[in-house]
Amino acid sequence: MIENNTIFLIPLMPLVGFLINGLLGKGLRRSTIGMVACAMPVISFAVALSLFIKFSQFGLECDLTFRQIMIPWIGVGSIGVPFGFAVDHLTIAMTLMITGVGSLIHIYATGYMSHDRSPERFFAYMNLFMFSMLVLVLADNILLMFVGWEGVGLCSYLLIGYWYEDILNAKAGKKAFVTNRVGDFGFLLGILLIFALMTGNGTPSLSFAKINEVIPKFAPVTYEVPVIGGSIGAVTLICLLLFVGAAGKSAQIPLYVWLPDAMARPTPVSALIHAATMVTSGVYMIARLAPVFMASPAALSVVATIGAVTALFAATIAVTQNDIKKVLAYSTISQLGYMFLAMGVAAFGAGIFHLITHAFFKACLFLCAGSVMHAMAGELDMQKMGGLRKWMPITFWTMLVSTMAISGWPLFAGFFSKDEILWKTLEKGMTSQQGTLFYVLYGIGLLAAVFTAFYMFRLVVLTFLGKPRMSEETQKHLHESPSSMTIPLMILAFLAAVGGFMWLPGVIGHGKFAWFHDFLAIREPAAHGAHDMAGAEWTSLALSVALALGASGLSYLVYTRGRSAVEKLAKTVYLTRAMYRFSLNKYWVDEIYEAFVIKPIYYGSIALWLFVDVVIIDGLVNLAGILVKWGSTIFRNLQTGFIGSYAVTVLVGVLVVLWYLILQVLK
Amino acid sequence: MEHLIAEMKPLSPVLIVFTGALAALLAGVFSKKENSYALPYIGITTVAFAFVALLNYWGRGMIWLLQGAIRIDSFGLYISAIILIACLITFLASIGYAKRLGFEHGEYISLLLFASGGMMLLAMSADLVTLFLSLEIMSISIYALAGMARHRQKCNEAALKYFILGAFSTAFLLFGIALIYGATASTKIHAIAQVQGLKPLLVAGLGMLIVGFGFKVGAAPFHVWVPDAYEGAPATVTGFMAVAVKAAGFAALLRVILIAFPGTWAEYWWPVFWAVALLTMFLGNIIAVFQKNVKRMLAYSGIAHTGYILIGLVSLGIAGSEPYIPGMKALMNPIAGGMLFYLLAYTFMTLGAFAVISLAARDEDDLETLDDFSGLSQRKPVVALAMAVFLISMAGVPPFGGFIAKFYVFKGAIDVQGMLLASGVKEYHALALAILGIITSMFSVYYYLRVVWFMYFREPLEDRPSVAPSWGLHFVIFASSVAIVVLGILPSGFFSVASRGAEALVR
Amino acid sequence: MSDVMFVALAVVSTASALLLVTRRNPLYAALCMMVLFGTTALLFLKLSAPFLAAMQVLVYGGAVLMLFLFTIMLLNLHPEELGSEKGLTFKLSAGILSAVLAIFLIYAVKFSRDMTGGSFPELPAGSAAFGSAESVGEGIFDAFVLPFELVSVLIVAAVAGAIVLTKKKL
Repeated sequence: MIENNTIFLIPLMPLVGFLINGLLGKGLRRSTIGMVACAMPVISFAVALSLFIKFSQFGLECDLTFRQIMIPWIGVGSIGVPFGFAVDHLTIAMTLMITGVGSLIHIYATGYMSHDRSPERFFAYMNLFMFSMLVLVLADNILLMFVGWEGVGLCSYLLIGYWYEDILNAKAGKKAFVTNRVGDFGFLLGILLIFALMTGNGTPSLSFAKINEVIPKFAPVTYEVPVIGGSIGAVTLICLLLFVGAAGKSAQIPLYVWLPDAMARPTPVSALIHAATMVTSGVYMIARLAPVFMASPAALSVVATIGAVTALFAATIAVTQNDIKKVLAYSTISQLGYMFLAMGVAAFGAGIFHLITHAFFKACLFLCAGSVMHAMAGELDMQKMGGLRKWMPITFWTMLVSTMAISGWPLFAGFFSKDEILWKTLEKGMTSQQGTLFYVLYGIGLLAAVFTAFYMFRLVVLTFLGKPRMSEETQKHLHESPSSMTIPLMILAFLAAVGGFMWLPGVIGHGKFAWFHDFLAIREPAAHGAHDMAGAEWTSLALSVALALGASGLSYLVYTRGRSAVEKLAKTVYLTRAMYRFSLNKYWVDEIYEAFVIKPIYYGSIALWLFVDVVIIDGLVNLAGILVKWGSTIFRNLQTGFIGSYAVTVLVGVLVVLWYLILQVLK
Repeated sequence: MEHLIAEMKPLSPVLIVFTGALAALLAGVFSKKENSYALPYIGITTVAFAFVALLNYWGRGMIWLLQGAIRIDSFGLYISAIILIACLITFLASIGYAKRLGFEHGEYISLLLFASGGMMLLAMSADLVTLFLSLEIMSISIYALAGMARHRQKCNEAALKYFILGAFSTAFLLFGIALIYGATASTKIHAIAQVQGLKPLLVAGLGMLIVGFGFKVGAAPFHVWVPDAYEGAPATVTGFMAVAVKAAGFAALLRVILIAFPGTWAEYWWPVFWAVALLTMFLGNIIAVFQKNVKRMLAYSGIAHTGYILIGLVSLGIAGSEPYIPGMKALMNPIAGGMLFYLLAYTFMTLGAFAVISLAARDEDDLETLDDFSGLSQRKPVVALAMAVFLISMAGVPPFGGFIAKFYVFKGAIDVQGMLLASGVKEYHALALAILGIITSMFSVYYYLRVVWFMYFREPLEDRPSVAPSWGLHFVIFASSVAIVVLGILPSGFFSVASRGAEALVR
Repeated sequence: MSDVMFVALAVVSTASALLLVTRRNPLYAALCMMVLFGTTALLFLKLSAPFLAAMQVLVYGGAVLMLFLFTIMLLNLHPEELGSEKGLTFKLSAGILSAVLAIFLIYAVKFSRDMTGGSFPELPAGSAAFGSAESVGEGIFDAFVLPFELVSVLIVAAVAGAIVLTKKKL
């Protein structure tokens, strides 16, 4: 634990940017606003880089934490929760990614938002988001992380509002709202439970270091579950509650429904919040609390299963979507599923590795999509694109590189990271006692990889190759984007191409080239004789490569040559037609939620309101009258004075209270 | 006589306030109309003096006065401080507002001071007779204040409804006091606990007291007056009503319940408060969702906040009813401290929000419909930012004071639950209440954010003649938002003060 | 004998109180109130509290009621100005609930008596002269000096409030 007093600068800079643009932005020139907004994350990046250099001076494997306690925050009795930041290897990796990719997206946004009415508001929210995200990542205790957690959620809403008229009345907003509330509820409850356990243990602290040290000791403690019966481990309960939070923020089954709808806002926002940073905070949280999760194999299995199923489920939906951003949204959900799969098989390093490579190629993909939209005047339907390669060569090539990366082409970033996850899953299957589950998850992961390669190449082919399908009018306006947009694209594409060399598979050179693995090694459980299984790892690698290339090739062939034939096939044969319709309609999950969750809650609330107001208050008043009405023919006007019915409500309350109390005494 | 004067000395904060009230009344009568702008300053000066006198007695232990009619202790002083702060903020916010609505006169200032004095006495009463009379001083003044903007139809209606329902509930309170006197032959609060016989009568009295205080703090189902009264009364008065009446009501409730019915008596009352808290949270939050009028929405939100504070009381009751569990007693002071902290945070959020509402949208009306808030961020960016801070804090989103307050309260319930489970008691009432509380507070974000939404993402409607806010109003909005941020970021010091305040009730 | 008298007084006072709240014409209501005050004074007398009884008659029966009557007569309202009658349903439900409340309280007293064998707590020492002028005076200037002073504050506040709500021009 080393004190370091520069950490606070990392989140502070974006906050300064927010204050400048938020309070003074109206009077500033457009270029100044952009400059301020971009400079702040860049400075943060520089500070983070300086910290990273300090780490590397100590050597990659050195277990080291920089800490900065700013001020004491909450104190209850003996518990003290400070405002403090802690930076270890995991944190610095995340911080570099957030500030680095964030800076690129900010720069891109100066070009993308060049025609916007009030860029100062947009950039202020973007900077505020960066601030919250960095607080989330740098927090030294779980409560401060929750501050960042709520902050990013709030900024996400604010940025939806930038596009929508009234988000909280719009369907999409309601969905995002409800699912995120469910997630936050789980998270907060988990925090309170941790708090209770920590207090009970006599270690009143909420810092991650202490939590990771103390909570796993509670593994043998079980609680009886009231109502249902049976019992649940204390640590498992905590992990599951936290995972509910993670699933809400990181869009996993069953709380993923908000993410595709969140795509209707500016593309830089999608790239920053809904691809690279915010949605990965659930993964980060689990990695942060890795020792706690490892104390509960049951919870890890749940995480792994949900992750793998989400990966496949979302990938099958992405195959039939025609909206370019929707495809990318489902793709993000699917990739997040991979990360959770990694967490679930206790391959925390591999998960974070995939998180970072994913940030590179998915940010690049989103920004490319934004570039296409910029050129096509906001068109999102891939059916109306095609042949764009001619007009937008840079966008095409960068998109192709990141598509190859996400599809898992050999030597590209996604290949190494995704394969590491699949391999760890397989390895877990070979070494653990409940192997079957992990073999199945491995299979699901492979299948999802096939779908991934297929739908991504479908996207590229439909958008950039073939004959142009847009109107003549649109064609005239087609142009490559300005350099402020293409330069970030190229940087990201470069990273997507070579990012994987941070961590080469263990079989190559016996793990000598897994630098990033070493960097995050502290979080990995001891490998069980990895060298004995070199053969299996090579096989797994080869299988991945073959499937990725095969699926890409198939997709290319289908969508350049035989598109009509295949689609005809998909629509005529009964089985494929059913599958096609399932996928196209996203398995009707939205409709199911609407019918079984949203509507009941909504009407339930109204019903409760009406019930209390009309039935109880007025009903009591009317009850006696109805009795009279039945008994005789007296019809008076039944109007009830307001004060009268209020007083009657109070009177009823009095009676219930007295009745209860007197009965209690007589017991 | 000299003896009496010496004994009255610790009561000086209250006496100063009453003296100020008389001074304002006389100044209002004898001064010329064009000098009436100076009247709020009489109130401000009075409050300042009273505050200094109050601080003088902080930390001096318990002082019994006048044959046990009054007990000046840290709890009473803490609540009195909240009331004086609320009073001060109301005076500042009234500068300009009172003139616009035509009640810039001595009586307004005087009644506010009378109400504050009554509330402070209420918080310090150790005798049920004193308690009842101070409650009446408070209530009568507030009834009149609620009807202050006489030309507004809604305002008159609000005052009348509040008056009639208030009288109705006070009758229950008085009846309760009579029953307790009948059972114990004493009106001293601390003497009640010693009596064991005549339980049915005593408990019936307890029930009546719960109703009476429940009405004042706006707990369901005794909340019925809140929406109409809050909506109708002038915004500054509403703010004062929402904060000070609630603080004083909670002070009396806590003192009577915790001192007169301590320990295993809690078995009787905590289930009642459990049900009341649950109903209050659900009713307040759910009905608030359907409100189009921000003042009315805040009224329901105030009801919901009462529910959250009551969670603390339930936790105290559950903890108190299991005295044999080791460590349980140690939990009680932080829980009570959390409740007092909640009241402090609530003071700033609510008064700040109502100060914003008192900014005119149209000439004489308050800023109250959602449409009035459309695009406020463009017309008055600083005010809109402050309002957003107040609302987000009320929703319990970190890092503002409201979050910390809710955190303390929920944590208290979870701690009690943990202690119960650890000693093998398999009851889940505290946990259930905490979970349901968290759920309702999660969903309360919806209606708070909606206002933020209108302020930031709607274009302003037709150009409304906006009145320039007075310096006092600006100061209030600024100071309250700073206070909320400070309470959120540096709560420890305030919490330890609140815990010391709670020491007088539970150690 | 004393029980019969108590029951009679109680019945009359309760009945007059009920009539008081149900009459539409304020004049009749005021007259019912007079009966109520009178019977209450008699109840005080029966509890051997002559000073309270005298005050009840003088202050309430004399001063307060006269003020009411003056006000009512000055206003001289027509029947149609009195507003419409509340629905029967409301009256019924309020009546039923109040009756239930009364039953609850009666039972609370009964249970208390059963539990303790009818021994209600003794009044504080020196209460032999309870309700006499001396004991009331002692109470006001000794044990309850603060509440007594608070009443004056209450009255000032109430007067200020009444003025502010009713005076035409301020």
